[in-house]
Amino acid sequence: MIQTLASNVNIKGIVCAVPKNIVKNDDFEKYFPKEDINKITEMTGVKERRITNSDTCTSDLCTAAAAKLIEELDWPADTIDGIIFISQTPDYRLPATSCVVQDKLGLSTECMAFDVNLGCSGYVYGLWMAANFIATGALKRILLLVGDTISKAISPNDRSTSMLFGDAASATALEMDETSSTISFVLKTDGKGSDNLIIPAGGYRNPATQENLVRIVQPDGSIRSLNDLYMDGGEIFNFTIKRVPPLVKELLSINNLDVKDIDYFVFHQANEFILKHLAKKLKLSQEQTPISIDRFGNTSSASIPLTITSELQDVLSSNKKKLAMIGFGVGYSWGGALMNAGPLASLRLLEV
Amino acid sequence: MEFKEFLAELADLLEVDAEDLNDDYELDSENFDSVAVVSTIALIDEYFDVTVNGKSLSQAKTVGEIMDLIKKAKED
Repeated sequence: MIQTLASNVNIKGIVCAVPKNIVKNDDFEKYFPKEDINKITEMTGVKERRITNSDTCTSDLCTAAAAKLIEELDWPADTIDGIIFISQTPDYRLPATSCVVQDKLGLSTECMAFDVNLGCSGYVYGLWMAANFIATGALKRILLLVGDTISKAISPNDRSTSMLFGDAASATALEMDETSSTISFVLKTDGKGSDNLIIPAGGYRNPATQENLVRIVQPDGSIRSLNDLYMDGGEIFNFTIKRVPPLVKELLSINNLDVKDIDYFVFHQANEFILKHLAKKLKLSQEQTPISIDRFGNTSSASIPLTITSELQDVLSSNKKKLAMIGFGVGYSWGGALMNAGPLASLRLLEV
Repeated sequence: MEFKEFLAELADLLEVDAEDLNDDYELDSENFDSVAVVSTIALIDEYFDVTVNGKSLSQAKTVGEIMDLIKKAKED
């Protein structure tokens, strides 16, 4: 049971960046019958997504978001003493992308930087790490960079993934502030589900070979290679309905709160059907559960900050609200964070 | 009672008349595709508060087999 509290941590701002290029599901009529596309769209709720070109990586989106954030907060480069980059789509297998970004942003060498490989739960885990570095006094100002360009790992012929995922990245600024209220976290893991959301080849267990790069018809009927993302939608849905409602209840109970006490539940935008089912099961109102998946798709690790910047910009720019952030998926890894957030000095969504 | 309401919703999901949906009703990849499987998992969770295994559910050949999975999940 991992429950922790972090104090003296202030979230100063969140900036997200998405590519300008919009892809709609109609574009997939060359791969699937229109009837199937409509059926899938009805379930996922995804109407359009942002997709990067081949020259743009997650780090480029993160760097653009971070540069804007630093500028708006007026943080001198030498006052930032940490970067954490959380993604499943790094620039290289090595070095760590966070090191590349430290230089691109012109930050001081007096800055720790490291990468973490997590997806849908990554933003919550990232906040936990950053908040704990600050709470222990180790660091004073941290940039948390979280995002993915999962479109690069998707076969267009795989109906379970090709019309679902979008690209996006975020930069969040956290600072030591003794007047801040406590943030509470609940974090969990179950590696038994690792095979259900996976890119099987391309690492060192199954290095990429000419054979496994070829896209072939797989047992589930989709056409993809072992270097493409595979998702067992049914199993992921099972995992979600089994694990997420108890996570939310645990996060509330350690704070002696009821669902009605929370202004917003910002869920990882897995798909609309899952979000509606979770809201129904937890008895959450529509107002409490902001949704951005219709315009951006499932953006993996970026979906929580993206939903905050796209749906709650007005509210959180001028008010303090009680927020629960709930991430769940690949790993399986899941976690929740509960905090008072806002008013945020910098909160915006960029198109790059 | 919950079984009757569940079956009505399942019929809706499979796009058949509720009267035609009995235990022998056959499922195939046409009427019971991955979208239908996920929807059925949600329905089962809603009506019976249990989660059935996605792989087992997708391999169900008849509605009766779905009902057996639900009964088994309720017992566990």
